[in-house]
Amino acid sequence: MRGKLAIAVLAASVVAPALASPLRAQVFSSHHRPVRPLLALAVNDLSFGTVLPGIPSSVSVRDPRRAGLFEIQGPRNASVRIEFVLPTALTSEQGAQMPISFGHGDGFADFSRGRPPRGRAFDPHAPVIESLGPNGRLYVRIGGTVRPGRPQASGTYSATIALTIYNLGS
Amino acid sequence: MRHRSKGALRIAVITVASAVLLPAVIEAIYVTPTAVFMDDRTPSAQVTIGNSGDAPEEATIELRFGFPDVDSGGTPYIRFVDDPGTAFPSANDWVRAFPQRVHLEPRSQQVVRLLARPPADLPVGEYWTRMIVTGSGVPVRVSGADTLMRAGVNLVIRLVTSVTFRKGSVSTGVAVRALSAEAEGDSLTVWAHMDRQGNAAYLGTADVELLNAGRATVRHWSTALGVYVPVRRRFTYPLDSIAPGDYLVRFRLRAERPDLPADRVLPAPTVTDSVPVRVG
Repeated sequence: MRGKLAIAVLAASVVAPALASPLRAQVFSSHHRPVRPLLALAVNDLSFGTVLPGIPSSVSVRDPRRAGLFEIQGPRNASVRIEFVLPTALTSEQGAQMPISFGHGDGFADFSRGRPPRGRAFDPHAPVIESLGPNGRLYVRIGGTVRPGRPQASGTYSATIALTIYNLGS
Repeated sequence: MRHRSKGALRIAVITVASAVLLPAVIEAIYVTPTAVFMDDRTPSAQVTIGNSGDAPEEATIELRFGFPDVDSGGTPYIRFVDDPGTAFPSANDWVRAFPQRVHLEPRSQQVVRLLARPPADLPVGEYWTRMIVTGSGVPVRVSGADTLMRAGVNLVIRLVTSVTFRKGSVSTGVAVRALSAEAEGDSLTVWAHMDRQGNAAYLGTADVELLNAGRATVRHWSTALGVYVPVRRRFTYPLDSIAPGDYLVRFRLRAERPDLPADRVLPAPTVTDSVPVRVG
């Protein structure tokens, strides 16, 4: 019995800090309502996995495992502008490059993380202006396409996508 | 006793399962407050920067002069000006952040202190800058078999928030003109020219209501906004499942912001205007 209770407490302590940390830092408005911090989470990398020489490989923005996923949290109805800085190529540790491109529909923004799938597609080259909505959350996903050459040196190729979130409300 | 034992086990199983099912967070940076206010009586402030992710983070803190503006398409953006000179009310030269780089262990946070040292002869008014917090990102993790080529993209996050310094008596207000509305496809677009008044930025909320022929509200949207300079801004909202017909768009600006300390939101009269729109 004591052992089982200990398991429960230990398990709870594993989960609680991840959920509680931003809340500890929150400030209060003079209405004594907690004001949520502006929080950005990179939940998923955009991952193409194994690719083959000469064969383009795409990750759909709707792919739950391989599409890049950001979660933005903040005050309810906060107005934010989201901008991506996108790479044009992935680079291997040896310096070889592999082109990457992003299409007009490779971005997707919604409030519900796709349950049900509501939201709108956007061109990730252009900024997105959104309100964080009544739940103070916005999910942004991104897909893309890599085009390995033929031949293409073997190795692990990577690049960086920068996401900037501007608070437009003040 | 037996019931309590089973209950404890159930809690353990559910909680452990939750821990496993939660997505691994690659990077997570937060900033609070989202708007910093200082004045000549309190020329310092604290900002908390935290990492709620699963990996250590290096974050940099930078100050750069900028303010909300609107481009030719009516889209809001933060206009950065590298050399504002005396043409803009910049606080960038005399506000400093300490430290400018922080190391954040997973689920930890650190306080960054902002200190304003304005020149003694600074005129009464409001002065602005922006704080930019950039996470370093973490190395890419590419899944897949150990074969010829693997490709992945990692993600870096940058958060941009406001810093405001007020000296002496400041006031604000806003005037709305040239209101127009258009329903096209499944979207309602509202254009409003907003002129700031007084010597400080207007911080408020834009309420857009869609009223039917009986003047009942059928849709209501709210957007937090700041009007720093005269702008002609476009607001776009979804019109899903709105029946075709004639409606009235009521546009209201009120100096209320539940996300900001009320004593930092300068009072201003509520402004209302309206314009007809045909849907369908």
